[in-house]
Amino acid sequence: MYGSAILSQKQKEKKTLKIVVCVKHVPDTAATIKLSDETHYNDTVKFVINPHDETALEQALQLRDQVGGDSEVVVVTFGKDAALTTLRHSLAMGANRALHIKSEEQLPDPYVTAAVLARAIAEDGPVDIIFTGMLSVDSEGMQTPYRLAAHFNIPVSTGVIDFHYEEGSVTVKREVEGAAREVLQMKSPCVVAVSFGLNQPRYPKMPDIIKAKKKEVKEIQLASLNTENLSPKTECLKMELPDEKAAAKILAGNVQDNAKELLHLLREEAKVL
Amino acid sequence: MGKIAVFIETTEDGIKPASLELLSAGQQSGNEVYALVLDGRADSYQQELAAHGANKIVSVRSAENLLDSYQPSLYAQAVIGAMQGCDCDTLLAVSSALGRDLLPRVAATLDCALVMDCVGIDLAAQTARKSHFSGKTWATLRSRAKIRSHF
Repeated sequence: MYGSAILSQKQKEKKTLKIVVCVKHVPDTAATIKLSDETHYNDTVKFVINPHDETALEQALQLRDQVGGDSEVVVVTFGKDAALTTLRHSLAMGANRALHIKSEEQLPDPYVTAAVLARAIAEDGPVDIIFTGMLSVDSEGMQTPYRLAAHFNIPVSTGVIDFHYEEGSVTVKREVEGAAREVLQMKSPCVVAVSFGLNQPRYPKMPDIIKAKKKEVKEIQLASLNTENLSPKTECLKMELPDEKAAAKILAGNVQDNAKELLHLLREEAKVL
Repeated sequence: MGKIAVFIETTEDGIKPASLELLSAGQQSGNEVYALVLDGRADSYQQELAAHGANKIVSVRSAENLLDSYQPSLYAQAVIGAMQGCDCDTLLAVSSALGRDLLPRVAATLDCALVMDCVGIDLAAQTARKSHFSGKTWATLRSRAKIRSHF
């Protein structure tokens, strides 16, 4: 835990914000996932920024521009070398700089992920708001925002579909059960995990993509974050592809016979009646 | 025989059916099952909880009835307190909107394993099955933590 006072008084007085956005490099949701062995998938497919994280980044950029001054958006990822693509995309969208914590794991354990991100964020200096997506579309762990908040002992809200910031106070609307919404207020520093629909992420233009190549990406080796004492809380024993769906059976002939046959199939084969 | 806790999620209409299913799953695993009730109506649920496999019912109350409706931090503290008081090392709860907010808070505070949206659990082996990539693959995950797993 890094204590509750991670908000820099200087930043508060200057009315500028340091905003950190955690982004993950994930397979495109349209990609066909195949397995390479018992516990790994074939990661030669197309990768993109995790869509929820892209929404989080857009919100962070809008907030930075709203507050102005020397406010900055720093993106951080914990991923393989290839995750640089996602960082460059984030920088092209408008992030000021990036931190790349190097990992060899395909789907790191959420406890380790949050601990590593928290250490890198803490080392980078005081922060006002940490944005994340509410889940990653690969492992769907849905816990990193909470674990991050626990590391810094700060409030967290997830599933955020509306966001407002004013003078150190964050107001969010979040989805709860039965299409209901609740509005929460938190003091910064805090963790905000956003949902789809909060905004429409901007599409980087060519000049932004070129500029992004010159922006700072700091590489952080895992060993430099004193991770020897971090051991995963879960291990993947097996990954499997879902069973092939059986081909549809089409009944030909007259309606009366078909109805009888359908009844028979539902009773005897599908055993649902 | 271990001790497992089941968070009983309730609405105005009573206990959510999925919470009762978790009690049954806990009972079938051969563990002693503690039903954690936070809404102050444990007395009225007693028979129903026992019929579905609860060995013990734990009603957690606060001054000023602060737990009558869901309060994220308070609920997490209450669940952790109840688990520790009853010496339970595993917690089961439904992956509802409430469960998805409560369970990560509990796991983050205890620094323990959490597997969300499980479609199958084996409490003896400490494994859970869940989807990855929106159901394009299925993963079997094993909890390695000392305070074991929250599903």
